[in-house]
Amino acid sequence: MENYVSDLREIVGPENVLTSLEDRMAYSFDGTMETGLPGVVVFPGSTGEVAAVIKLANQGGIPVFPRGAGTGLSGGAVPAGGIALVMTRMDQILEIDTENLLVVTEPGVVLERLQREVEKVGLFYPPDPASLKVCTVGGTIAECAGGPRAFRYGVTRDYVLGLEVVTPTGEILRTGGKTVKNVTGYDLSRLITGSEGTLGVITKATLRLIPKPKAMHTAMAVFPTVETAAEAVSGIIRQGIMPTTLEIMDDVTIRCVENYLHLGLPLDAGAILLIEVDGFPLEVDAAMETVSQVCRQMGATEVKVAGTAAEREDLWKARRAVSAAIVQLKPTKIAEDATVPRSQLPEMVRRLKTIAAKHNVIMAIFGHAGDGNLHANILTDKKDLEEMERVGKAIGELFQAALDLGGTLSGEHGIGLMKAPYLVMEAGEVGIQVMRSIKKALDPNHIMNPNKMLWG
Amino acid sequence: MKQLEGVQSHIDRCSKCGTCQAVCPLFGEEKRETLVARGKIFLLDALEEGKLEWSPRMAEVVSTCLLCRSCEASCPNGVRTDLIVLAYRERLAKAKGLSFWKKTAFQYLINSRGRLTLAAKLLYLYQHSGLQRLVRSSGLLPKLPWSLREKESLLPAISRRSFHRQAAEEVPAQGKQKWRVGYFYGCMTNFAFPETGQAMVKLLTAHGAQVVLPKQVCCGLPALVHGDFKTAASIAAKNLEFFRAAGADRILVDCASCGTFLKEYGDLLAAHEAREFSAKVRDWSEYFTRDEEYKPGLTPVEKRVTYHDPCHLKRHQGVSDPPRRLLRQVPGLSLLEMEGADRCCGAAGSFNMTHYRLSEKVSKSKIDSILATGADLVTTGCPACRMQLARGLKARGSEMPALHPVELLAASLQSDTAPSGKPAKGKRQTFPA
Repeated sequence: MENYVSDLREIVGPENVLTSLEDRMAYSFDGTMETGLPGVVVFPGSTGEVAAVIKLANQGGIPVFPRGAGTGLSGGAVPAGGIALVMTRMDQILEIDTENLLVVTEPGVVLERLQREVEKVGLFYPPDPASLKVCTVGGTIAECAGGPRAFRYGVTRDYVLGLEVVTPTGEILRTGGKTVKNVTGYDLSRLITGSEGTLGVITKATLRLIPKPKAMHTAMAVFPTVETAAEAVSGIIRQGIMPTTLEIMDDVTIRCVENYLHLGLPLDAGAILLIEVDGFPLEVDAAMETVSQVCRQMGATEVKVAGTAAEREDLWKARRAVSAAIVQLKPTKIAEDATVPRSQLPEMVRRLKTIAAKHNVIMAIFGHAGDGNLHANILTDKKDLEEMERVGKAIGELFQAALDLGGTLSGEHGIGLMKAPYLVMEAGEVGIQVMRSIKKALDPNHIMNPNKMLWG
Repeated sequence: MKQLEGVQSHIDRCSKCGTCQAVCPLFGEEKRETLVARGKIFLLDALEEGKLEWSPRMAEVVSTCLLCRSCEASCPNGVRTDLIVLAYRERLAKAKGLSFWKKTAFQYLINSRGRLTLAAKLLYLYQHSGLQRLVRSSGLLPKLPWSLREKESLLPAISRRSFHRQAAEEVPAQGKQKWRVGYFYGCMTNFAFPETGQAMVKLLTAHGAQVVLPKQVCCGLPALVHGDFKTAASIAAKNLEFFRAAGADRILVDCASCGTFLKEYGDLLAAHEAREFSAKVRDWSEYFTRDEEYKPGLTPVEKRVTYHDPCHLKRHQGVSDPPRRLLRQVPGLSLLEMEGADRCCGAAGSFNMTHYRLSEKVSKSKIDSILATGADLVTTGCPACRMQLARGLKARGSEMPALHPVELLAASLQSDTAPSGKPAKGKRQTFPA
């Protein structure tokens, strides 16, 4: 090992290679409870350096674990020996093209910075995972991140026009280009997007932008049951409105937040919806009017509309406090993101509650009601092994319920380590075989983020 | 300390989401997980489980924190990383012992006014006998290890007469006496910035306060942040006794760091008397907005001023609006907000001494923000920040002075001098190169 470490030092410079146990351990985790110690931590500064590192690793059969900010929620960036390849040094926005509505960027740019920069010139990059203040653009592409705005604007893959990728054998691959339309050859950009670092390392991305919406209105509506809230969501869409945000919180979540912050939320409520519409000022005024009406018709006991930025912040307070509020109950939070077709949302909530009761685990459900992407958060204590076993069973049944309702294991967090054992449930044997063939064709020595996604 | 008992629950509550990366000034510069809250917490958890031990690298990880509490302010779970770091610095000190230099500083120097005054005198002699000039011009400093040249430049410029030698033990109120205020002026005002002390006494007495200046020693925070809780507690007990004897309605502080710690004496000593003492402690800006109404003087102070929030004032004490409100009331003065006014300046007590290069990087962003405002001067209610800012500005070729806000408020009370950063008595506000 000492051998290849000195080669790595040669490639990226000694200050960009970390070997002490403490430093390696600081890169042994992500946003989940999965851990695994890398043999060495490397910070490459250019595509050339990435290619040299990968070539070296491929020749030596050394596993490589690419990583951005390490905020993923499926264990995708967690190493197991080998090289933790941290992309944060490649953090330049290379070009913002206002004529062709696109941005060319390096992978280590923090998503919020990219959004701020393009918004300065009146443009907009919609994907908004909760970690956007710290996560890197490269990470969001590798995981195909979504976020609350996905129902209206789609997810990361809908914005990737082209990529530069260092393949597992150390070649530099360029996919797509600068045009919205492109049917030349296989769609390799889409193959790489969401491949969780198993097919190569993204070193540059060309991303599509749209004009920034001019205005936004926010409302909060309280419903007696999840069903009535879901009915309201369908009602709003039937009126021809595509809200930017449709966040839902269930009764357990509401009570947690209220006990934590004392905002005056009704403790007998079954669900709360947070609704945002964007567009031109006149358009959003009218849309908000309709949203309020529909909510009341569908049985909302209370509808609040924010007029000012401060009022908007007030309405968001409850939603933003969810994470802090629920960990007051138990220290370990397991965030699942099984997703169902929107019409099945009330049924999914019902099944989740049955599963939680059956295995006696605490589950707070919130998430994105517009696209059926529910975040079922199980609160537990990872040190309590007996409970963890029940949690494991509950998670298995939760995935089955999502699939039975025509949904998917993961809407936006990815498969990584945590869901790898369940992939076959959704992809089937044939699906797994096709995926493995692709993997093998690109990564014959199985060095890129091994044992993620496909080998559960 | 009582708060430290809850440290394990704070460690457990960290979900490793990484939001701290967005605000940690150290992570912002170096992008290393060992610098940011979640990385530290993960390693300390591993230490607790026996997977790591107190290696030199581990000691370095625990020492490399500004204790600025920026991470806590943005943490979705409200994790008090500052308390976690303090608790483990104490455990480190117990496990490995303090260095010779720290032991000397905490257990011999700062707990005795006599010895600290003597040390200050020696430093003054070094700076004024020509020895400093000789050392600096000798070409010796750059040859020394451990960035000694840079560290030498961080030493405060010592005033010829310390504040406690200049001021009477009791100063009567002007007009009708409304308060009896005990003034905890702290080491920096005492030895480096006596003009802050003079301004404070002037401002207080003009507002009907009788000011008492009891004998006092360092607040003890330097010992605490390096893990020497025992010395910190014994120092706190000393100050408590000095101020008990003086008898005061309020205890006023001009230094954000001293103020933070004085307010924690109650918890630290867990005694009724200490809690009563802490309840009386006020940052000067709290006093003039909560206890006593500030009446601006008549002399205009025609300056464009930008204000830096000390971490120990904004996040440790929750005080950010009062100093601004008071500054805005000074006739003629206009307050210009800088970008990131509450971002740590990198001084962080003695962090600039122990981590010189990293501190310089953090400082650079701060100086950029200050210069971008186009202000005539920068002001802040913390002498350590003030020194760091003045030094950073000078290094960038700027002549912008750094002052304590009280000096600006006091300046409007009089007609004979105007605040300019160049007060009548020459050398006090010059800073070492």
